[in-house]
Amino acid sequence: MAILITAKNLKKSYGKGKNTVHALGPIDFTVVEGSFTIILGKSGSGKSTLLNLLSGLDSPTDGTLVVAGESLNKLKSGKLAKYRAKIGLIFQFYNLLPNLSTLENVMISSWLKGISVSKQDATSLLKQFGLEHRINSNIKTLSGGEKQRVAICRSLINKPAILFCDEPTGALDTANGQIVKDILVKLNKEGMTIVMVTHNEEFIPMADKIITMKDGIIESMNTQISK
Amino acid sequence: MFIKTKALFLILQKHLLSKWGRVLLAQAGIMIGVWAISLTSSLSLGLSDKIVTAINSQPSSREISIYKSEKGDTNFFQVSGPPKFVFISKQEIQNLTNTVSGIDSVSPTATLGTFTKKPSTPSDYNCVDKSIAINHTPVTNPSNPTSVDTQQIPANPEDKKIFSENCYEFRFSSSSYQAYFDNHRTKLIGSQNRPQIGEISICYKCGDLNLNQKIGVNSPSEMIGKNITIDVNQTPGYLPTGSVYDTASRQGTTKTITKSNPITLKIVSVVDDSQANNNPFATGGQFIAYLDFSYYENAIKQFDPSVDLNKIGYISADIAVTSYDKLDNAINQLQGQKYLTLSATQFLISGVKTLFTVLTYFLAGFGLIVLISSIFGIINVMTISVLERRKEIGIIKSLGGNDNDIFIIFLLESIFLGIVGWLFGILLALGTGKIISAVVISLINSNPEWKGNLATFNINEFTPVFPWQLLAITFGLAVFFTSISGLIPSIRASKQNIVEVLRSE
Repeated sequence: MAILITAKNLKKSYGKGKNTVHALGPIDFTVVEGSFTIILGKSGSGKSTLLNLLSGLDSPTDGTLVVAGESLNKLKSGKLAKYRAKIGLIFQFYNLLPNLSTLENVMISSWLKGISVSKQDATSLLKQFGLEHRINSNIKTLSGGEKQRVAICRSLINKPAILFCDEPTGALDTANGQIVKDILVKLNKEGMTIVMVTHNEEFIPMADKIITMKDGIIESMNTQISK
Repeated sequence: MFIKTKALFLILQKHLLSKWGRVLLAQAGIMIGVWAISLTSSLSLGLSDKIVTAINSQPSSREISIYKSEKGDTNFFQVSGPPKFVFISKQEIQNLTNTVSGIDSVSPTATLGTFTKKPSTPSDYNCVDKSIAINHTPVTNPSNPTSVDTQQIPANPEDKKIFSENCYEFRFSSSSYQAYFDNHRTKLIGSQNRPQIGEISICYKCGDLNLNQKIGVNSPSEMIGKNITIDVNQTPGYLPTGSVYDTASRQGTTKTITKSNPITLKIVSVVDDSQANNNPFATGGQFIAYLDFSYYENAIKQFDPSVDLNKIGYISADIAVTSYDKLDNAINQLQGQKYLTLSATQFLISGVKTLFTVLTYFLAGFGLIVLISSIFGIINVMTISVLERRKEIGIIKSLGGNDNDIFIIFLLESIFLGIVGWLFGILLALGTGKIISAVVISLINSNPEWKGNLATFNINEFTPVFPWQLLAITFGLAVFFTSISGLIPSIRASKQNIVEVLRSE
């Protein structure tokens, strides 16, 4: 399996001089293509900071970070935006555009990347996730589970190389959490590389690699071969 | 690029629809500014156009007076100090018909004849029937035996009554009579041809002279064919061609003839000055009579039989062009020939335009101030919008949108406010303009005095004018000011830290 993510001596700090806060690092790890990696850790452990760096939402202060052949540590905001267009992102609180319909939320993801997508393709994707009855609904009228499924559809519409998930089941009830978990497992089985930040230990059995963070560094990193 | 633009417009459209109340509030300043500018300009332009049309429709709009300045000045209002005029020969004046295009008629300026009704006026009496003066005057002026001495009023009450009822002052407003006649003849009753030798065109009432009563007629048409006796007793202004007339020292160009020369003329056309609305002469119909120009030259000859009329010069000439649109071109040609020109119409119209331009600028300035003030309102609204939409900014960025996309979305939003404000402002101006013109029209029509004063101005045609230039300028101003207003909030929006804004609730 090819290595999709390489992090070497990766650091992130905020502020300057005496006010500098070292939020992350140094850390080193790799993620192989098609794997399911989960990042565990308590609040303030640096897991979300790491995911922000991996997903191009933020830039590292030091070190090397290569994702899908793209070196992120030297990219300026415009190039980072282009990088974000290539990946999929799922948030705990869905982060859907509130004034748009379900279908528009999915399609806008492609349009913002400058990619043309047909209404049929977007509709078909929404149907795969059981949202056929919600296609033209205002996003505000959807339940949490439905919203997260729309968010997943939005992240998948452009067939990303990698899917980053930040606590995707954190805001969902058990039933909806299970649905989302099943979807992600299915996607991974179909070959999608997934990196997920979570508190949900139910994901542990499905993970290929478990990175446990503490105080901004990797406390442990376990690889499960027989998942 | 097109696909991305589609995305940005979709986001903008959905946002604006969800916040339409705020949009309406935010564009109010622009709307009021555009309304004020458009309304004042459209009313001014409409009124200005109507006044210019009204002035153009007057026969006198075709008239140009020419002089020849000693200094070679060509614009009457640029002459500094008392001007000195060079007398122009009649031949030179008449040659202008061939050298300047668009000329309908041209005539030298001259003054002729007077007789008076008022006993206190030291001039000779003249009567419709000259015999009245002779038969009813016991004593004639010894120095002027055929005329009546003003100091020798008939003592007999009956003679005095007959005298006062039939004899009156009449001054020929004969300066430029030919040009005036040609300009106004379509409004004459009777013949529209120029009066020939032995004929006269005259006013009906002649103001307080009540000439109609003197002649004993009750309508202008009854006056046609009647005879009137007048006394040519004053010479026109003249000096030999090339002489210089100093307006400061007023070198004598007018000489009073000491002997009377009564002539009887047939009335061939009448100016109906009995009703102001029908009077073609804006200044009133008093003392208007038109004679063949030979009478003026005869008067000179009468004063000085030795004078060579071929060498007489005239201080000015009046020219009528065939239509108003030939006026400017004719003036340019005349000025090219070093004539000093004076066109009351051109002066009036330029005055009206200047007045309305000043008015428009003044009132539009108010609108501009409102527009400038609205900048702060829009900056506030846009800043609130940025703060409220921080999360949305983060989402768009997380989906691949870059700083420029965010900047464009917010800038487009502020420009949209400008466009909406402009549209509402124009519609409002259109509506209020129509209401104002309707109110003004009904107000004027309800007041007979005002209506009479505006007889030559068809107030019913007064409508606000919205030329495309006005629409373009106001559109440009609205978009410019909203772009300026939206600039800082848009930059601020584009620079939002994606991690921080996604974390915000």
